[in-house]
Amino acid sequence: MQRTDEELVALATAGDSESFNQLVGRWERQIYALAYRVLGREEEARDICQETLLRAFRGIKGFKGQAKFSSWLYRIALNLCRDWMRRERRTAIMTPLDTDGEPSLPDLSVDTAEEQTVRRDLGRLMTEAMATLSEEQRTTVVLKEYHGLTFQEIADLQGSPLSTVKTRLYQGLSMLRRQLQRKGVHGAAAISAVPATSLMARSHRKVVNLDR
Amino acid sequence: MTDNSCIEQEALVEYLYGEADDQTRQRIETHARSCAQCAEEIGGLREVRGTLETWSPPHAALGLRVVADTDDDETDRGTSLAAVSRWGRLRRMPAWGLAAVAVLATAAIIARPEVQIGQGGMVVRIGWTDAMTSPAQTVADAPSGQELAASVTASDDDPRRDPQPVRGTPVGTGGGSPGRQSKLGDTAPGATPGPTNDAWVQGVRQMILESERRQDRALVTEMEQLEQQLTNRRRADLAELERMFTELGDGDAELVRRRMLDYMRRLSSR
Repeated sequence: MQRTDEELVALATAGDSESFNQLVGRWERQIYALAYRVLGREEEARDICQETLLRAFRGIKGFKGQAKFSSWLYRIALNLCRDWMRRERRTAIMTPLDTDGEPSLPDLSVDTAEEQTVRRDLGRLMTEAMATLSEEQRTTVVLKEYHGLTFQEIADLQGSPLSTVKTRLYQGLSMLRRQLQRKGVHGAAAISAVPATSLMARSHRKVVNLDR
Repeated sequence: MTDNSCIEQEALVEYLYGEADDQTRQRIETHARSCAQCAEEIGGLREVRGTLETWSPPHAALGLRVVADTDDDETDRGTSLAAVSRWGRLRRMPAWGLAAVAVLATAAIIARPEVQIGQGGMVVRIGWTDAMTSPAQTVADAPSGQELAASVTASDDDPRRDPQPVRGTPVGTGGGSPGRQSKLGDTAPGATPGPTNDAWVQGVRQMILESERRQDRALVTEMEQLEQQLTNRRRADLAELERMFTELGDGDAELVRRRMLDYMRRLSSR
């Protein structure tokens, strides 16, 4: 039977590093994804993921179960993300785009490569849009949208009132909506539905209108 | 109130995430039916959520593991996590480092090294013919069997690699000109000849076998998870189609038909 996080934490606290490794296997992807979506940079996200888990291992004896283990990891990761952003003196970093600011869209004929291209371009668009949010808005959107935290859990993580969290989420979503509309991505929920060739053809016209 | 609608921000996000109480939900839905601006706002924010759903981080080879320093058990100072991936390390390597790796790799190809593990330990031959080899030259810094096993495991960056927490110890490499033979295990400090070598060769083989079994199990687990995801997706698609069919009778058949076409196109493009 699979052990719960709490059981593994108890074993890890008693010195069982293999139990901690099971926790690592369970949470490393989530931590990496959190850091990537907050920072928009793959390499740094991986570094922060590694540092988060290392700090958690070193501090596991001080973890008294006052919060969920995952929340504790998220807190460490978000602190590291904040440190990194302050160190770099920028709120979000993106991979430089092509000279005209539009994603590069090579004329590929293989479906899978086309799909990859579409997804990569969507990733760039999303990273750009997320970069326009404040750090708090971005973190709130990411924690709610991708990690399923409750409003209260986010409030606890951010040390903010519940109402502030909800306001940040609304503002973040509204800002993303405006940014995506500005980039010509309408009805983007269906972006994966559109055949890659169609999307690429539209993108070459600098308009990605996915509303029929 | 929000910027674009009559609904309070807090109530709107609670509604969007399905966390509004019944009273709030009914109030918002009733209002949205009669207020085009609010209905548009809700629809727009839902579209954003749909777009967010399609955004995935690039794949990263993680597979992190705790590597405890057994010499320093009383403190955590010797603890670290195994490297993320060989490619990640390469990306962080400076240009001169990459150049050095390239030179070594080229030299290895030219030298055609041959590695044998036998009764006498590990033998590394570098050269083009057996006749050019010389058994006289040895490497003094060869690892013990345990260290070799550790280094083999530590260099494996596959996320499904051996989960044993081990300490990586560099393996001594037998350099030399073509035709030179390096013998590991005979003169190494701490290494013992004969039966002990057999034992560690067996140990290495056993570890490799165990590692392969673990990788197999991990692969099976991954396949099961993938299958589960596909099954869930299929169920969700089916539920969505069924919902659309039920909407067909509501009057706006043309809109539903177009949405269904979009949805079918999306499914067929997967």
